[in-house]
Amino acid sequence: MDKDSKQAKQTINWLGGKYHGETIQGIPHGKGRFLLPNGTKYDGEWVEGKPEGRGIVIYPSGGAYKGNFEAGKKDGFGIYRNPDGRITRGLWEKGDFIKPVAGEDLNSAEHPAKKREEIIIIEDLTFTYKSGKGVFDLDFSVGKGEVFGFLGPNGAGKTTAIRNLLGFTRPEQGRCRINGLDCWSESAKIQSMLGYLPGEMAFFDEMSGSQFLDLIEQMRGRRRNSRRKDLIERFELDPSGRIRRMSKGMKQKLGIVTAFMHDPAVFVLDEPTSGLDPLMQNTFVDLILEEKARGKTILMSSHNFEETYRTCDRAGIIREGFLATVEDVHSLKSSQRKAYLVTLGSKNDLEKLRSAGLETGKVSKNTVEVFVAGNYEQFIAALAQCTVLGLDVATQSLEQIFLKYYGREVV
Amino acid sequence: MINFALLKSTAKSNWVIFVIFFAILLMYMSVMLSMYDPDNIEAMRQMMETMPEGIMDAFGYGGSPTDLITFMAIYYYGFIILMFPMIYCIILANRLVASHVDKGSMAYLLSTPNTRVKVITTQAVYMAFSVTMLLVINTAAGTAVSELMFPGEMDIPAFLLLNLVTILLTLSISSICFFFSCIFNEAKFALAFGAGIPILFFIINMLRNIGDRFEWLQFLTLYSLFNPEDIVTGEQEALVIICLVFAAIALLLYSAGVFIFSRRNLYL
Repeated sequence: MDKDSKQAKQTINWLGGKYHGETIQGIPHGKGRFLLPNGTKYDGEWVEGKPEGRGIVIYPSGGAYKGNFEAGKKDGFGIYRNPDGRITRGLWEKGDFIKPVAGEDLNSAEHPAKKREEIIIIEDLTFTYKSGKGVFDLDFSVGKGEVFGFLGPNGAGKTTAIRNLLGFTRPEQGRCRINGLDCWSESAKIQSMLGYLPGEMAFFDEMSGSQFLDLIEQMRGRRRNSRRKDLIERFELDPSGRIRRMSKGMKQKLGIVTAFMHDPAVFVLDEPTSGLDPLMQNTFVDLILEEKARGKTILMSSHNFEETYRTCDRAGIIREGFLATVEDVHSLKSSQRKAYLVTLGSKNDLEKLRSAGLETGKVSKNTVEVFVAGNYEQFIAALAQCTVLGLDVATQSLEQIFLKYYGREVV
Repeated sequence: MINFALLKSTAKSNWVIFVIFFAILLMYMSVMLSMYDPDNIEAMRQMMETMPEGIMDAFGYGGSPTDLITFMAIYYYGFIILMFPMIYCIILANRLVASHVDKGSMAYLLSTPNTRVKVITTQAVYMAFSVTMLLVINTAAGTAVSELMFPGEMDIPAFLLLNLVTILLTLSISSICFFFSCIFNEAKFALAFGAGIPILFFIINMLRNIGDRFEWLQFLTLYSLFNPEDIVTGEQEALVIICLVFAAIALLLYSAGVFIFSRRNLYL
């Protein structure tokens, strides 16, 4: 969009209704509101005269849709609220609902959230930054004794949601609750039963690890207990040195000890394993599983599916601030799209693989990338027909693993 | 209202700065006192007059001392007692709030069962207390040194009154620094305003001292309410009101800082 030719906000007649907002050469383009004589309202982004991008439409019937538009139609991820309150969340194409990606029927009385005791509840949470990024209509809950993974690439809105859970920011819409307490107005009360691990390690540089732990312990009004010592030994943390001089991994361990030492009932952990070496990651996974067995409720964010799979019961995938799905990790695992690097004996073999109906990607020399999503038998059968010289697992980003949730535009 | 564990920790990580500033203030106090010659005030004044006039005026050194108390009021309380405590306030305010928010370490303080009001009030109390103590100890040291060097020469009640007004002035300056430290997410903005405004006040005060031409500038700086020579000679009008203004500014800005901090979004 050329900034110079963009005009100031104006009100014009458009498609039989009234438009107020940004225009380009007299055509709605940018952000604007639109009202049709029949009462239909649209508020959101426009491209060349049609709603495109993120927007909200409210129908005269009382129904409403919030989500993505393309060429004037519902397209992409969106949430539709029926006049009777039923919610349809999922993927839309050219105005039609294609499939729910929530993986569960939110309106059903059988919904697991309605049976179990919910500890962490995020209700219709929206929080936008000035840049327009943020989280939109997040809606999920974590039950007692459950480990919930919050999956998404960097910048998807994981930390934004966590800030609202900790009461650092005030929701623009909706609310968050932990153990029945409001995360904004009663955040101090929540902290006594909450263990929080921030995503960024920012400590009191001039203190030693022990001094820092003492401070937090005293501020919590707790006496030193054996748990702190156990955790320090378990993670092989040396808390005697100054925090400024600690390595990233050591700081992360200190953060973990801080979050766990008062034995809280609920945990909110922002990328807990970042900076930990694989061995320590295992130690951490064991700790999470132990805490889960003790009935603790845990929400942890991650951009690594394998780690989430190892620890969590359910996971929510967040994409550009919208919750794309909430699913059991096992069903996520089955929809996981894995890439294998297969080195073949000859060019012929490559053709064999392709004709077997397998999805193949980049080819370099005799090595080909093959994508497998559950169809392992087919993959192995095809491989059996070829001369295989090598087989490697390709590292993939979350977007690549969950292509179906991240849509076609992301590769 | 406050958390003592945090107060202790804050004091522990900031006492070095306190000592440094106390040492600077005490050093200048001793130097100034040692320059005082009770037998020959006139000679001393002439010596000062050999300096360029404008510069001396800017530093507030334009008056004519008649005794030890007016000498100190002009040469110590006209400049040094304004500048160094101001720098102390700027540094401390930034360390107590803005840098915790900017670095993210505030997240740890707030992940303890203490309300934001409690955490930030603790920092405010430390700030106001340490600024007050800095000047109280300096007053005590100044009284002692002057009694040691010139027994019986110092008008102690006037000196104490002068220091009381100095404390109230510095508290009002500290409240400006603290307020801006509380309201921004990034330390650079907090510093731009929290340091910028007091420094601007200070520079405007130097300009206004130069001459009548800049007299109107007095309305643009808090420091114009503080005239040490008039305070010690008893010529200051409405001194009580001036003291109340300083106290009111301090109370208002400290409270506003706490209030805004407790309600705003923190991107920790």
